[in-house]
Amino acid sequence: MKRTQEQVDTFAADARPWIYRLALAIVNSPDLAEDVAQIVLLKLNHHRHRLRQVENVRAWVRRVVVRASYDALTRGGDPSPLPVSEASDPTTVVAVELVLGRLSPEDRLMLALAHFEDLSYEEMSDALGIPMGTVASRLNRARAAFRREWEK
Amino acid sequence: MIPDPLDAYYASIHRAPVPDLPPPDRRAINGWWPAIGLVAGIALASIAMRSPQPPPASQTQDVVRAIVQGQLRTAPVLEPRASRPPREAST
Repeated sequence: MKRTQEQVDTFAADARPWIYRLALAIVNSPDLAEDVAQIVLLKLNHHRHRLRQVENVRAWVRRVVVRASYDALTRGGDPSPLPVSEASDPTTVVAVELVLGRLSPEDRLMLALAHFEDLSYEEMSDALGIPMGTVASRLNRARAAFRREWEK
Repeated sequence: MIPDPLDAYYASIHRAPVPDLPPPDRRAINGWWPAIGLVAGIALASIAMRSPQPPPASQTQDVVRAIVQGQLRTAPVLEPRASRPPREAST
């Protein structure tokens, strides 16, 4: 499939909120998510000519967001809390944030892709570059880890 | 079964405000400007770091000879200023 440059640029402009929020769902920090979004937008801009040939641009961008978010998580940093005013149940949001903070970066990544992005195993396999069987086992492990920490 | 709180949490992220993300400047990425800026920066840094060169030995000897022969005066030694009397404390 070949797109026009205008189509790619329009997608890039419209995808900004999605890119930021997906990064936020993975890194759980507005500051880190903004850094990740900037990195992704730069890469998107850098490869904008090549993206005309890419079959699934959204999947391509998702892979870049996942990689950049995972790098940001493993690099560490000063986490900033999610603005609770946006939440319908601020107490729950803060409690979940604390629990997620105790999980490994890999577990947080799996939960975000499955429950925020609502991806299938196949889409998660594509986003993470791992087999579907591995996706299933890692997701089960992440869910179990969340449940264990939540019930503490 | 995943507890509901996790879904509530991700639902709040779907509503999270998005900061103003400035569009990346294409010139800054694709053009020649980064290379030109880098070269100019290195050149300026090398100039700034270069230590001043001492005058050639022959020039130094000429200056010393001129001072000895009285053809060139050295700068007068300034007397230290008289210290100002302590200001009286205002009442």
